[in-house]
Amino acid sequence: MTREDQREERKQESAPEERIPCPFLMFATVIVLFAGAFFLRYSGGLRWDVYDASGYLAGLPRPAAPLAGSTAPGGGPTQKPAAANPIEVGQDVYQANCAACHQPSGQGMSGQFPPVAGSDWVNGDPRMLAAIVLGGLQGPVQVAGAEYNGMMPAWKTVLSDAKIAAVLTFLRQSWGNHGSAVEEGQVKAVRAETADHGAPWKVEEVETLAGKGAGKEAK
Amino acid sequence: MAKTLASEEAPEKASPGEAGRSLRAPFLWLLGPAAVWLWVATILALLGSLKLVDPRFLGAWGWLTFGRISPAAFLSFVYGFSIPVGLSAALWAVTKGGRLPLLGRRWCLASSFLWNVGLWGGITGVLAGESRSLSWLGLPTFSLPSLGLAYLLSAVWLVAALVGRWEETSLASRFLLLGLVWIPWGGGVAALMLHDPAVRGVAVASLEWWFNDGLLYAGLGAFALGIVYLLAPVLLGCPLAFPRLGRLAFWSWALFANLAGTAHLVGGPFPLWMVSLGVSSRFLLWVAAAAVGVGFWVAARGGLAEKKVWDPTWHFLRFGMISFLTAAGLGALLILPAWSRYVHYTVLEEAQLILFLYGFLSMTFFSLLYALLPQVLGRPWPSPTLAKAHFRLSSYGISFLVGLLVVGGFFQGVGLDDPELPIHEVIVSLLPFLRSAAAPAMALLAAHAVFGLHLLWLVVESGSNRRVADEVAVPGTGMEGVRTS
Amino acid sequence: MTEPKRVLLGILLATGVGWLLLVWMPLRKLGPASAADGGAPFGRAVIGGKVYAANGCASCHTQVVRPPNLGSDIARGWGARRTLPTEYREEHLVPLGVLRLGPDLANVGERRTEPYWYYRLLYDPRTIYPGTLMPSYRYLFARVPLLGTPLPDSLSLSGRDAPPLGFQVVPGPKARGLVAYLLSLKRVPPGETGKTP
Ligand code: HEC
Ligand code: HEC
Repeated sequence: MTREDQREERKQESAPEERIPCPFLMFATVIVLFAGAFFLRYSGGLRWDVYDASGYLAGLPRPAAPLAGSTAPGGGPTQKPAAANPIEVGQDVYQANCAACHQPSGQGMSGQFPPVAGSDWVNGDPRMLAAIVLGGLQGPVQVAGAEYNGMMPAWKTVLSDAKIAAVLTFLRQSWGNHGSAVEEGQVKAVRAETADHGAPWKVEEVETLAGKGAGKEAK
Repeated sequence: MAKTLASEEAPEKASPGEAGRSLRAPFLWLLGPAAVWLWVATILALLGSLKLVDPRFLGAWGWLTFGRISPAAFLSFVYGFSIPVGLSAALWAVTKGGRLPLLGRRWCLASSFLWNVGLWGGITGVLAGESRSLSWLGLPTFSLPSLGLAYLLSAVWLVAALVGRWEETSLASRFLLLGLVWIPWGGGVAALMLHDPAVRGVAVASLEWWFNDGLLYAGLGAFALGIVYLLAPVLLGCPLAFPRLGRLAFWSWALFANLAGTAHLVGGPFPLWMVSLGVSSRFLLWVAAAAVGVGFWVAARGGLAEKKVWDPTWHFLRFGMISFLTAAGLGALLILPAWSRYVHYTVLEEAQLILFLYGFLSMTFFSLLYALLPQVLGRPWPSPTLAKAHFRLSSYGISFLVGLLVVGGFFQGVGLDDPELPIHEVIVSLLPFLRSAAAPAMALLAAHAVFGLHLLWLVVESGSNRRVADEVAVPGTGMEGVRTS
Repeated sequence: MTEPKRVLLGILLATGVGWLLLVWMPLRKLGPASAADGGAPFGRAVIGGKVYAANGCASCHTQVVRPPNLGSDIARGWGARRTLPTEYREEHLVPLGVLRLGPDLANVGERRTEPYWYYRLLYDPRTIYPGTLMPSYRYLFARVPLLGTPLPDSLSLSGRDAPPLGFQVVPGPKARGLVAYLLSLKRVPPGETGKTP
């Protein structure tokens, strides 16, 4: 509270000359900081295609596994809750982040968004695929026999390596796709390798990656 | 008996003069129908809660099906009662408590007439099944032109007068201006867009919630806060403390009330940032509310010590402020996604709404009416007992109603979250709470009946003694419309 | 500019910011795609949507499936995945709802595919869910004289619901529209399966 404030109050004689109570100031500071931090943390990069967040404040999934275990009729050793199935995690990630464009069915939207079902990019080299999803893609691209020329934003600031690995695994093993699973480590490696690449990839740039990766593996 | 209210105060001649007398008609035209609408709203709400006690109550008659009477109850509360009372607060402020002449008197009468005609049509339409949605824009299309015209007829010159007679430090006029301006801005745009065939997709829902929360906080809430700032000097003998903080609160209120709507859409088909923006805005609204609250309590502590008479204005206002702060806090805490799964779509959210509507808005509005009507009509309220009964019934009614819904909502939320529990059992665990809520609803009905009778008594009495009204002493009339903060 | 004018302008702007962020931009970004894209829905289901709105079904039912971290909707079988804007893209009526006193209906057309079941439910929910809160909507039905054999969609009612001798109960146009609307509620797109309870 500034001196000017107090003067103003004194001007109106009847106004009580008090300082703003300290508890209120503390309360206000805490809540304002909280609100700001909340928005920064859960703004999803201000993007129109990010729907979900995770974390304590964004809501955690129901702890279903222990419950199911306890209601299971006795007998053998209690099953250890299975590690989250990457396909299921990937499906959630896909539906929340990708389905808005590539459509829930993976078929894309003709002329605008390429399909991810039956796409050679999806079934092909996982390093290239990871790079596309991490960094985004722009410019003309040939997918499943049709040409698209749009822009997909980067996902590296939005999704963790584990989530990207899960969604790629899901993509590669759904809708008749038949690629291998993608491991978190692979995504991490690509992320590190392409960290200095700013704008979304062009097709030609991504294709050079594939070669490099193959070369490295050969070594 | 009629003088008890006044007896402890230094009697003061309450003649608002020529200007005051010319205000009698506009105020009665605004407030008389408002009291009737309050009744209608309460009866409909009570019927709604009886329908939840047993859905077969009153049979399967389309006009009274649950899905129509419950929106009709909210709509008649908001459009029939709240907005006219808000307008009369603005009217009171621009005429400086009846001391300045009223220029738009005829317009004002025409406006109330049109408004009520439109609203009767509208509510009848909702009950007849003409509503387009559940939103607070749910009034049928045919009633909108008349309502819009009616609102503009009185709001335009009220805004002009408020701006023309501005006093620099006044927070009351800021809040009243916010309410006066927001309602046609938001309502007009929302009504036009909802009728535009090109407006499709989830934006319809965010439009709906932008409007709903805007109407609640930036429209009606601003009216009620304006009333708080308007009444404080009369009641406490001094304006609210910390005017600068108040101004900051005003601007945050005006901005974040417009952004808070998406907080209802946690888990809905909206990008993350929209939902988070709503959530953060709710928290910032809470801070703004607390800033007003702190000014209120500090001023009250200083100004109220020596007051002994049971003063309805003060009691209603205090209850309103308590509800306001609680509702703002609940509004922020309940929508946090962390526990949204236990809270969202349960009656807990309804409890917050009711606390805001009935606990804050209606109680603050009553407080204004208790202060204002004796001065407009030149007579004190005939019976303090009735005023007390009104306060007791409505404060208990609201507290129990909200309490029941909070606890019931908790059971409902935990039940809904358990996927193994069939919906039927979830609702069965909620039913005792919904059913017992009929009792506080009844108390509210009784409270509003008491108020209606009391008002009628006052009006009749003042009508029969109109000639001598000038001679009657009424409690101190320090109510300086706009000089507050 | 004088102070009141500044305040007035400030209020107008603050409201405008809200409108821009919460209404205009979502409309551009998440609203109807292009004219070529099928356009607004039409037909009986649209009439039914109006009946749904006007009778306040949304005061007890929602139409939104939340993701697994925000509720048990998916585990309850109300949908296979969270609701996305694409599913409402062309619709005028977006009854997301406020209160769940009954099940979510976002995908009810997936779970219940039999029109007759809906007619029974709307005529008297208690024959399907004894003791339920859902009110009866028999005012959407018509009682007509029974001439010869009953009409194909006349309800077979017994006990207190039974119409007087020589009459039958058939769904009126609003009930038909409403059921068409409910049947159209399949927000799980082809290629994915919704879990049926
Ligand atoms: C804003 C819309 C949008 C979103 C959301 C989106 N994409 Fe894309 N995606 C595109 C566009 C547009 C292209 C084509 C870019 C071009 O033309 O160069 C594309 C291309 C692709 C490709 C390569 C072409 C193909 O179809 O195989 C893959 C793989 C891909 N996206 C995966 C994803 C994944 C995984 C996600 C979710 C994490 C996602 N996309 C989210 C718009 C989007
Ligand atoms: C008072 C609240 C209420 C209202 C209003 C209401 N319902 Fe219901 N509805 C319920 C409840 C409760 C259930 C679940 C029945 C049970 O398990 O007890 C239900 C169940 C249903 C179901 C079955 C869902 C399923 O998954 O099996 C449908 C369909 C339905 N309602 C449609 C409607 C329609 C259409 C309207 C408007 C005309 C409507 N309801 C109005 C409370 C309501």
